[in-house]
Amino acid sequence: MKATRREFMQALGVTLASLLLSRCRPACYVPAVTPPSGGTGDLWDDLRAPWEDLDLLARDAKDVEKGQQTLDRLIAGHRSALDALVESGELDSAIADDLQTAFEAAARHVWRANAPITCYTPALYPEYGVQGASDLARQAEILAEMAAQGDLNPETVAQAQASIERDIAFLTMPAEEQQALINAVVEAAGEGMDWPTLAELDLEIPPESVEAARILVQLLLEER
Amino acid sequence: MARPRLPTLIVEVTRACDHACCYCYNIWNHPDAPREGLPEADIRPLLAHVLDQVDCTHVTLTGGEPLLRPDLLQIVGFLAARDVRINLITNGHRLTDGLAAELIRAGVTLFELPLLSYRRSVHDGLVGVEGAFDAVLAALAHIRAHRGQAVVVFVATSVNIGDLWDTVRLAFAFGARGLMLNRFNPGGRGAAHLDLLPTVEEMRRALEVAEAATQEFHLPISCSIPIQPCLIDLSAYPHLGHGFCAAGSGRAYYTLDTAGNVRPCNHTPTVLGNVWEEPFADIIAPERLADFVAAVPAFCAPCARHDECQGGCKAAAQVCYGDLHAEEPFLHLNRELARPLVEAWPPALAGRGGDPCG
Repeated sequence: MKATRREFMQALGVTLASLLLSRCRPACYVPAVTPPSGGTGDLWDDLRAPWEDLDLLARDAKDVEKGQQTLDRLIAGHRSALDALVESGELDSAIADDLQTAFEAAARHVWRANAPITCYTPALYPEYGVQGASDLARQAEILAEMAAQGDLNPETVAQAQASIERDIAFLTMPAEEQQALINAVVEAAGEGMDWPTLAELDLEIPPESVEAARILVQLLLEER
Repeated sequence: MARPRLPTLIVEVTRACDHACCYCYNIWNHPDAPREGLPEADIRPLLAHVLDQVDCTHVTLTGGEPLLRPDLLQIVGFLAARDVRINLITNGHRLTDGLAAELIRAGVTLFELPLLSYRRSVHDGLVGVEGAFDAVLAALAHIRAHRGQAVVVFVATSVNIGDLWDTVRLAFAFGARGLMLNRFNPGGRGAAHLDLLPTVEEMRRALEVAEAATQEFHLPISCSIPIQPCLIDLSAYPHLGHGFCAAGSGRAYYTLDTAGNVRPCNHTPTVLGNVWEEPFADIIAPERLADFVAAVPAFCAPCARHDECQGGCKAAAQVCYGDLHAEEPFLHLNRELARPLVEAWPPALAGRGGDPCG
């Protein structure tokens, strides 16, 4: 399908913006806005400025609100520069409209390419880490309460409870055991500092710690 | 030429599924979708072909139900060997204790599981399979036992939206690392169930619950499916993450099927191209995406936030109403509640009952 004039200008704008942001020298696009001979120069500089500020837009767009403000400012600035050129007789108004179409497409493309928006957050959480003691105690409390309501499979509840106790046991390890663990991690990492994940370590929680965890859970559930 | 950088790539490893969720957005489950299947052969050559062309360190495996693929462990191992972090979207029904351990060992860094209620009957009713509730909780327990990580997805429908608070509590108790509060986004099989859409008021109440829950349980909650700011003032929920369509942005998540077709996202049937026929960079070039990116409902044109919001999920509009430029169902069915976000709002809308969003 043949592109319309508007689509052509939009594509041109996006292409120029891409060239600019890939550090292409302004010479790549100057022919499109080179002032005709006899031009004042200043007004054309005003028109060039928003294009040169596209990299600023790319940076500002990392913050949605700030980026939106810069986007609006650049589009308005470009329109205003065009209006001045038309008024001074240096530019035909129809051409000015096309230039604006190209710039708006360019600016919106740059904004979208950099704005931190997404409708899918894949949740890049760090490697497994033991949650804080208060969270673990709260988890145990809620688990016990919901299990008591009878809609949860007892085996599943038992496995979840065991994991909570294990994590509490980790937190209650004495300082020297934690240091031993750290040493084990450093040793496993080797000289290349290829840190293993917690899951890769062969952790053995001593029975005393497991018991301590159980006591702590019971304590916080006011069962002790 | 620099390889395109993708923050994540969605791979639909199979179309098969053992659940029958009434809210399912899989495009092949739409009543009018073609019935033909896709290849189920070894997809590692396909993944290698794509990963050789892009700078991508994160892949989300989805379906259908990925656990129905007998070679899923091999796929995970292959990706992990290429230093790719792996999310696995699964209903958890087939995630035994042993398989959870194997998948975590092989390289799955995060599981995404649906948890639609704290009540067995509600969860099982929405997914259309008895035993699903017990299975997903067991899956969460297995994952945690093997020091894996999971986030749960709560699809907010008119049926379960009142269960949110206790469902968050349940997710927290099972060690979920986050919760995705996704309002029902009609598409696929869900396109025939628009009655599942929560009302604006129900959604507002759910956001209030989520805002309180994220602080109460220190559980990150993101609302990925767009909620139009003209319908609900999202600034009232500062502790929640709010999503908008990422197509064309630096955070776009292109979707790849087993035949090599690339789509702008997993909600749209629009195919941008096939990786066996042309380079990935050409497939996602701005001009190829232009129509999809530019599509915004006419209703939204004067809005100050239309660049960001874009009217919501254009893929839902496309699937439900056959037009990318249409108003997607949540907006279309509630447009009389939209509050003006600019002074120059269309006269037809201005003055309709003031500002219902306060």
